[in-house]
Amino acid sequence: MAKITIDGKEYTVSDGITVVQAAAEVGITIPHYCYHPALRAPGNCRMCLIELTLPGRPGPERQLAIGCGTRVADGMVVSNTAPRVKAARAMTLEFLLIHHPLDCPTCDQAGECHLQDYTYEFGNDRSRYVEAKQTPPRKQVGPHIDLFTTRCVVCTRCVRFCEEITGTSELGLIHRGGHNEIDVYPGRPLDNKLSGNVADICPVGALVSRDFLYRSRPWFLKKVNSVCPGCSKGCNTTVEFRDNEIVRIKPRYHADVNDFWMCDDGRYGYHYANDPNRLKSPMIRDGESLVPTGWNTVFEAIAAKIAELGGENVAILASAFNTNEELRAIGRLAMEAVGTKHVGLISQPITSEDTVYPKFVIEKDKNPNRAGGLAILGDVPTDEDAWALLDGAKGAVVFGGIPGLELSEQVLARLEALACLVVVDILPSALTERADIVAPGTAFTEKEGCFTSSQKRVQRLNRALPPLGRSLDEWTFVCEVARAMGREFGYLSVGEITDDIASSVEAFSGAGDSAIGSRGYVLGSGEPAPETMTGNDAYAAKYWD
Amino acid sequence: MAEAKERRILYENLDVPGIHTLDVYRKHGGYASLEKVFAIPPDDHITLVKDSGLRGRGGAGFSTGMKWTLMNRQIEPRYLCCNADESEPGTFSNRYILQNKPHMLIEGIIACCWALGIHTAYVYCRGEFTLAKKRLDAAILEAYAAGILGESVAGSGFALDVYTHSGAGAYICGEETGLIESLEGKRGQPRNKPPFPAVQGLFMKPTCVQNVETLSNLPFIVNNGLDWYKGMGSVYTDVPRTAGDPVNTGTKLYCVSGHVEKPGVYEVELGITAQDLIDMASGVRGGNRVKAVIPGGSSAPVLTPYELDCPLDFTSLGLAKSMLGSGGIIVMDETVCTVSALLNLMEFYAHESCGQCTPCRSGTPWVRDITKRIEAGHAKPGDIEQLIDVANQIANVDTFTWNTICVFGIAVSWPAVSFARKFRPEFEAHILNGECTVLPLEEAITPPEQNYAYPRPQVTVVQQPKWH
Repeated sequence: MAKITIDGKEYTVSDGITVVQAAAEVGITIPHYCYHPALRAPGNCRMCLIELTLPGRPGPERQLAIGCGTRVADGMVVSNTAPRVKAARAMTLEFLLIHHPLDCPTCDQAGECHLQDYTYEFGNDRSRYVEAKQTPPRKQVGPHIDLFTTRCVVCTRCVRFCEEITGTSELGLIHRGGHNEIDVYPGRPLDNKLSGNVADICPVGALVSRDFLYRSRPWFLKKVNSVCPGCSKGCNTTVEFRDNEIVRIKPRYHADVNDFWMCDDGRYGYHYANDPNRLKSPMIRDGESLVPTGWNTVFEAIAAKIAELGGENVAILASAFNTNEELRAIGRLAMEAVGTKHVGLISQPITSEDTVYPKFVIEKDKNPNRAGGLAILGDVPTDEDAWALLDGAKGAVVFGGIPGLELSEQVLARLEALACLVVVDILPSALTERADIVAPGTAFTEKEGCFTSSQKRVQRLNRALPPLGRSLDEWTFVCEVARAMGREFGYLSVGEITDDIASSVEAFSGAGDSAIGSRGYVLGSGEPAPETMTGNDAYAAKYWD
Repeated sequence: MAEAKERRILYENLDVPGIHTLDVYRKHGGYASLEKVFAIPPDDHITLVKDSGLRGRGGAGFSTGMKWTLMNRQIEPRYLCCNADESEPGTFSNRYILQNKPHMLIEGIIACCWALGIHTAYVYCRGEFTLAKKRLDAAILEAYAAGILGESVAGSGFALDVYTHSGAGAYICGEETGLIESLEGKRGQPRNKPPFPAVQGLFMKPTCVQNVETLSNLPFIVNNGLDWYKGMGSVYTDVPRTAGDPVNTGTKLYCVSGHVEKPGVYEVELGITAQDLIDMASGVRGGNRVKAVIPGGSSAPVLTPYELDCPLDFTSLGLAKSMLGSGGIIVMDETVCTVSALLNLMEFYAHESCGQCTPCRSGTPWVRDITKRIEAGHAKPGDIEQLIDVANQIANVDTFTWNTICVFGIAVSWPAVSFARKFRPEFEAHILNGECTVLPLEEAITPPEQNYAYPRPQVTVVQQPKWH
């Protein structure tokens, strides 16, 4: 730990961090544009200038130093409010704004724009600039990203991101001096799998995500912390929604999982949750068509069917998109109520390899909770083997919720052969076409509960939107089915199931509801991951969330 | 007034036919330092250069020996980058060294590398140097063939490789870290300092960056000894600590250009006055009077006729709130419009800014645009203050601070502020008359009592150049 003085007050901060991070640790803002803790600091925006007194020196240095390129040292004295510091920041802002179009009314970044924030805080209220503004053209730099070049402050965060994190270097600077522009190399669009992040790290409205463009003002958005269901990595995300619609997903900092980033598949893969064709009501087959009905009818019908076919002849297939808590309820349903040994776990099959970037890996397993499923249900058959359980079964309860799941002819034939098929899913699919009873479930944005990542890290999803229409949480559905069959599980909330898992599944010991904090719980670690507010965590909390 | 004389050391025999070849160079005493240099232990060699008072000839005037002591000599490999990217407007002395005496540079490189234990040297040539680069390359090949470079330099067992690299014509690649970036194959954009190149430079290894003229001085220091070298130039006492090193030894290649009868490079001991140097160049053309003199390449603040008694060395020009810089003396006579002259410079700087940091990227074109409006007569009262203010925001002339990554900011700001302040009446006349107006000499210049850099603080002279 290093003792430094900022604006006359002494603080103790972590060793070896930059002054910007140290200030964030103690809750002080040092404005900056080009600095990002995950990237090297070029010190080119000149916004974070501070007055520095080095240990053992009589007074402040003649030159202002950059807070992003200066590492803290014991006894360092930093002034964040000296008149010349304020003057330097006002000057920097004036220079940044002379060519800026001031099109905040139509700019996506408005409301979460550092240029706006810092201008209010440090800038002048008028411009002295009367010369011609530069108006470089708007460009489509990649499949997901547009560049409003006029708004760009040439901080080069995006260029460094593509050099250091993805190693693909699509973005670069062209021209020189006042004509500097970010651009892609001809014929090489910004199409790597992490391209969406450049819109996040852009401190102004220059790089925008075309998916989000003009869809909402950020201040209308409500936000909840969630976990990406796109693969087994378990990237921490923020789900932002408005008017019962998911508007965008942004990564949330986690040092041990995804840093500040997430991949485009996860970022733009939420649209199925907004699909107008989502199942909204429970349905029972009447001849050719599925007819909407009430939940009680459905529970009774399922209980009756299982009793009729005999519990041991019913296969229950959970999905790797179910949360730990849903899986626990499903497991108990199979064991205690239905009494079947035919339990399997269906998922997106693993067909590809990990996509490896220098500082980010997208995992090949495109299911968020395979690890949780295998830990909670026991070592059950998966994928092909799970579907094979239908061969000896007369009926099946299949939990879907897997977007874009493709079923082979063989599986479809097995489904056709069943006397009764109960499907819990969120979208019409080949499964629901063949179902006798359809129960609408929840998408990941409507779930409460936890996913277990491939690294055995249990992380919590929070509910953004209520279940759509008359949909039910899967765990509620399961409890009600069990009740119809005469079994009370007695769960009243998700947290109770979380605690139940912690006490009854050995691998999950310690991972109770209260132990799973914002950084998750690593199974087998024996203690909750610490809620740290140092270094990058402090930075992320201050400038990122 | 005695006839001023040159003191040719580096430029000795410069015009001997074929001096750029090894044989002719040797015939005129070349490579004599190789006999002596390897007998001096590296540490003693560094001390020798430090004691000689040699200061960097590239512009900043930093003590060369001091720079060498700051080198991290624990890390291998270390590199030498010879800065031959002579881009400062008004400067053209290195080109003649490369064209006519490339072997002298190689000799200097060997001396520097021996002192610092460097086995790889790069010469970063300005992109426009075609003949110079050709001759330097040929000289390096000759030196390899003669065993002067390679596995064992002149049989000493000391290995040294020299490579040349051509820039692509960017002024900013003459800044040492911009040069390093460019040499690494990136955009030529200066790095933040610290870390200084002496700690982390080329390929993140300790690197010494030296100007051609600085390196060319080294063989003569080795050959002729400390006292001989220290006997040239000017030395002062009573210099305020803020003005830095009072020692200005050796000679300087002054590139005199502009409205003089005989422009060219004059090698004189450091400290000749501006007036004497103009006289040496046979005076101003057509018997006109001097209106402005830029003393150190276009980045240096301009001098008015009142300041022509200023000795052209690092210390005195520093006290005059200007700088010797690269020694490019640009003389303008009374027919010159100082606003146009400034506009010319600002066009250059706006074009050459690398654009990575905000103040310079936005500020330099802004200063250019304001100057352009004044020159065209479209400006309004208050624009001169704005010009000075914007320039001071890039780099503050009065406090000698800059908000930019590199000193390009100062290089833009100094000429802009000094022109606007020292020739304020002419700037005002442009605004008042709504067109380009060249005032008579006496009226065009800000009166000395209002000149911010006048009078100079008086210091005691211990040693004066002997040029008469």
